[in-house]
Amino acid sequence: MRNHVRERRDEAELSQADLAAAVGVTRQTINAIERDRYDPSIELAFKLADFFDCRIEDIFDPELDG
Amino acid sequence: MSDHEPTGTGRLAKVRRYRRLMYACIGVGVGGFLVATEFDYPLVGLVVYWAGILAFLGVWKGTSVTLYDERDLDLERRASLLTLQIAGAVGLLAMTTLVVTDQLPSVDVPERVVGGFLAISGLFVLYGIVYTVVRYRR
Repeated sequence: MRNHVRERRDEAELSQADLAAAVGVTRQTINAIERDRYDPSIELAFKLADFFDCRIEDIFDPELDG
Repeated sequence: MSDHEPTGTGRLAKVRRYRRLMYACIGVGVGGFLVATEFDYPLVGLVVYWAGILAFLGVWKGTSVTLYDERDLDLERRASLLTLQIAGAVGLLAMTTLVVTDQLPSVDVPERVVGGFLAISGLFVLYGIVYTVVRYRR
């Protein structure tokens, strides 16, 4: 699943460690999400959307077929 | 985030420190056990080993810092599944080989090898039990 976490984080001028601390995960997890190597749980997706004050769909793109 | 909480970088350093401490606890526990056993103090070794394990758990559960998260659990799940698949493939090959070699009087399979295959079979039985329990609890 593609996402815009990196762009959002850059806009907020935060490090991966800062964002990780804010949403309660490790820096490696944020790094894996930004590199499209890990799809977060619904709970974490909600936390990220809440942190960036937007909807989940604004950050995550499921790339649905059709 | 409140002011007294560490920054992301400070928190990261804390995570590293705690993780190192946890691994050190395990290292001391296992190392102490091996050394004490080598010098004929198995009871002391056992105490050191369990002290290391309890210290590991104490650090892990005692800190409010996130040391492991959902991705770590996901990695564990994937690794466990892969391990089970490899064990399954080895087990299937081994069982058929054992059945054939059992029919051949000229081939004598060592008991250790048979024991190893039985251990793999036991692992699958355990997996089946745990799977059933987890399935009915969710």
